[in-house]
Amino acid sequence: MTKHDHHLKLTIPFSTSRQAQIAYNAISPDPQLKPDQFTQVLSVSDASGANDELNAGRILVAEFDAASDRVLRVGVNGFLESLGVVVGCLRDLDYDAS
Amino acid sequence: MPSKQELPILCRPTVALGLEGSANKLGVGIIRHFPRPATKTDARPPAQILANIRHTYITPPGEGFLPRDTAKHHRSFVVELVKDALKTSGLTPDDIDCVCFTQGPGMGAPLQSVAIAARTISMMWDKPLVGVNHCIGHIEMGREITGANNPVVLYVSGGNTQVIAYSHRRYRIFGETLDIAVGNCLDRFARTLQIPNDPSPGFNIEVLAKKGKHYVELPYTVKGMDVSMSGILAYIDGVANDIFSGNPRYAEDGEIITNEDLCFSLQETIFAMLVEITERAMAHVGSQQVLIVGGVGCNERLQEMMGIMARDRGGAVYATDERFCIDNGIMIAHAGLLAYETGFRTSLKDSVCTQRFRTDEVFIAWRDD
Repeated sequence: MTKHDHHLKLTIPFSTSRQAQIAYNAISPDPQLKPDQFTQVLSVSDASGANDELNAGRILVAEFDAASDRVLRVGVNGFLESLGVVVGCLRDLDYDAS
Repeated sequence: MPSKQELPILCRPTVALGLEGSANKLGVGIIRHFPRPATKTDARPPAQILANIRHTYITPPGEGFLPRDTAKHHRSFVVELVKDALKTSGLTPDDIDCVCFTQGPGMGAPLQSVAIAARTISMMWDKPLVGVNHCIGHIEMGREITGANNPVVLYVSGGNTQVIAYSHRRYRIFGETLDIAVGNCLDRFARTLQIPNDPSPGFNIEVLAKKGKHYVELPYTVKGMDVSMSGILAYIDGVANDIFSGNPRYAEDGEIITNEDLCFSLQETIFAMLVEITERAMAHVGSQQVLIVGGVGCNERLQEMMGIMARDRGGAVYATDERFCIDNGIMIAHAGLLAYETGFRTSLKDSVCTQRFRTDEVFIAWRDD
């Protein structure tokens, strides 16, 4: 994933793997507006916990790849804004789903 | 006795949550539908509105709303509005059957911000997702509230201007704007005059227009079944700017032309154009009913002019109040629930929003006429 020079990797921990999966499903359907300049790849950490038992399936991993630092900043900000909506919903509207 | 979730959908009441955010209004609504009666001749009971909450992003006078700031507004308020709607309705997530959201048409970033909330809620509560066409939302809510059973629909808002008639499971577009929407024309002229945007620029133009006395002649641009507004806007902007730069205009009686006169003249002209293309569609289709939906539908002068035309033809005009003609979440919940009841679902991968979404793209499975 090294089409461009500017990269960022974010790891966002959630309380449960269910929440991380919801975040992934809520954000990943939307395509990027300028895919030749900015790519965003989301994944959820390995649920089996083979490498990291504590965080099994709980981490949303976001890897960004951009043509310039400005494009990276704008793109990452956009992702964080979307993430903010998801987190707000999880915090205030979720069932008591433990 | 089967539990609530086991009965086929059409035999028990259904409830939908609807989220709307295609322009600067963020709306959340919760609606309940009742089952059809056993006998086909009896009408279905009216839908029950359990919550209809809206928060509008209002910009300072002279400024329009931009996608990025509008999306930020929607992100900031969506959770709070959903919480309020649940509280108002007295329901819990368990009581909701589906989560509906505006999939388009509209502004990209605002649509997407609300879609993300809808997807999240749908997954948290494990309820199906239903994407809704904004125009269909307006039409179906208008039909529900007014009881107009098969009208010609004039859909007029800041973003859309269409004359629509139903035929064979589609809402067909008979006529539309060739360039900008009538509401957009009014909103932009409001910016030229620096009229406040609170509660909406269109409303404030209507208030001024009521005080107008002199008609300023403007271009009149009906093209067959369609209308064009951009030339009228350019022209009246020119007149206004000319007056602002120190060249006052005078009416035949010697009185000076005021902003009120300009607002009056703009409304009279564009509304007359809308009445003409609506009447043309009514003649084509053989309908006597006109239903006006969309934010501009709140305008009393438009309703009055349309009413005169409709009564001349032996018909009537139907319109809703500002709870429903201005963008709202309840219309999305209503149209979404109608689709849900026919088995319609939107998968996550199909839940991407689209800025262009033609009214006739939607298959109206819930009507059998």
